[in-house]
Amino acid sequence: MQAFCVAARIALGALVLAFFLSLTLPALAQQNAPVDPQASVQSEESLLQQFPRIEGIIDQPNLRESVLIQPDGRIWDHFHEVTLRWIGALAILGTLALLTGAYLLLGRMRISAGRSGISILRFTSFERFAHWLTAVSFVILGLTGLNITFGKILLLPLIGPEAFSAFSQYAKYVHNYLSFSFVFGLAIIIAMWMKDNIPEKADIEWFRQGGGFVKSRHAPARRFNAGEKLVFWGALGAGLAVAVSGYLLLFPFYVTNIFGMQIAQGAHGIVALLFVAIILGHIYIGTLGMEGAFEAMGTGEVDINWAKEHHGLWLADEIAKGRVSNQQAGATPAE
Amino acid sequence: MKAFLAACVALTVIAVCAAVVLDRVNEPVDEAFTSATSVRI
Amino acid sequence: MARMKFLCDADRCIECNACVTACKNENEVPWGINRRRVVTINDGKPGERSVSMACMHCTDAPCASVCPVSCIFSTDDGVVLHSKDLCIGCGYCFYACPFGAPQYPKIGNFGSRGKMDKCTFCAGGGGSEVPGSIEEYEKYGANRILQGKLPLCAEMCSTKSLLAGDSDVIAKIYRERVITRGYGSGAWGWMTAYRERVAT
Repeated sequence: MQAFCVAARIALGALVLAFFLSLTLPALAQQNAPVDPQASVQSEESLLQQFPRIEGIIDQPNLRESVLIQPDGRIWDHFHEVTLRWIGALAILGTLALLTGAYLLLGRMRISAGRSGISILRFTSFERFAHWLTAVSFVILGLTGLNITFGKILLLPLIGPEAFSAFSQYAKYVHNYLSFSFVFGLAIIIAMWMKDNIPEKADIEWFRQGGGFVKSRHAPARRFNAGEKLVFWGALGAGLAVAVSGYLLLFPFYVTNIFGMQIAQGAHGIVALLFVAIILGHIYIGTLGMEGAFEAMGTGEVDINWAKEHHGLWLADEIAKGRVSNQQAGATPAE
Repeated sequence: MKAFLAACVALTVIAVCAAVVLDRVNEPVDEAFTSATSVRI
Repeated sequence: MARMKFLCDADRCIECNACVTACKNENEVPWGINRRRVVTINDGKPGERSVSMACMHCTDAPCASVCPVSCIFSTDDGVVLHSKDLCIGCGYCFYACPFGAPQYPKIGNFGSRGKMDKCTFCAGGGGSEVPGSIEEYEKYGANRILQGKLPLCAEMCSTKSLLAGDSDVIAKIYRERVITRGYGSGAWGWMTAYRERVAT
């Protein structure tokens, strides 16, 4: 009996041992299979093919730093250093060339009937205030903005690195803070003159008649002619675009990621350059290009003959309202 | 002329006010990234 | 002439952040400025990799190209340095940098961000200060290169995943590693920074 128990215990022990040993069999099989440390790794190239940036987890609290690599930075650099400069040079120099040509060919557009000596109020002092607020802001914004893109090519060689950096630093502050003055002025202008800038049938006729540039024809216009309406709507659209993109740039990464910042800068640059070109044309017409135009914004009063020639329908309305100081006999109503 | 001068004064005043306000918004990084409200991930 | 570069072996990096700590300490980098950081891809998932990233000292550095006041330049060694005296803090270098290297002392608006700071390859600064002087140290951090030493981040790396030094030397080290162990996920960032790969 005792011998049987001993034998049974040994047999049971052997069975249990064999059972546990058999558990190692899968491991033995695994040892021969090669381990691939790259099994689930994604390479830099494959990650960049899926998405233009590689992002991950970092310890530092600054979330911007979680972008490991964004190769598009080089593309944005090329855009800013090459593309944008070409756009700016073509737009601005092209416009200046066009205006020079216009002045040489057409000269200063005179008031056909000559000055009558009688004037009528065109813009109130508040309207002029709003215009100059926007205009002076725009000129300074334009110059300080152009310094960012063209400064190191045009100005740095002239005044040297220390002076140029000091100037650029202040130019940058001025640009940032004057943007608020510009937006404020633009908002007033839009509110004031929106109703007089709604496109209408007379505008098509104005274009057909050569827009006041052809002496033999008469282009009809109310308070603002079709050309001025284009400037208004252009300034509204461009102004909105530079304001929105500008404020995104002013508060970097508050709203967008790095790609958004690059797009904002691109939009801001392109629109701003085209805006400068348009305003150069506007300044030309308002000063050199047309006799009798500047005083509208300078003193607010314009000569009746100028008004008759360029804003006939508006003049007729003003006469009907009794706003002309001294009505000349035969001061013609609407043509 | 008065309108033009008034405009110049106004744009300076607005710009200065903007500068003051923006300077308050501008935080040094050692304050910005240690605040209890900033989210880490 | 040596061409100085960084190479981070993503298959060895264990995300210990010793490189980050070493850089912070050696250069007395202020709080909030992250000259070097470790980014972990696919955290917690199979194939997780970590890469230590600071300025790569690129060939044709886009930061130097885009800077509106031309305050960034490359030395003969290929180290990209800048002058904090000329910097206007506009932030454009950060938009151009593929690696997020430029850092600014303030988070706020364009132009009030303060002077840009970044990894200098422990080669001092690009200003007018005397190399190795206390003035240079206070503005830019250590100048180990002047003493014939390499950047401290790579020197302190616990696994020697982060390599810094002459391009040929570190590329050779990495290549030998890849051949010996049989695998390598490549020299991250080299194509973008230097327009070349490490042939393995």
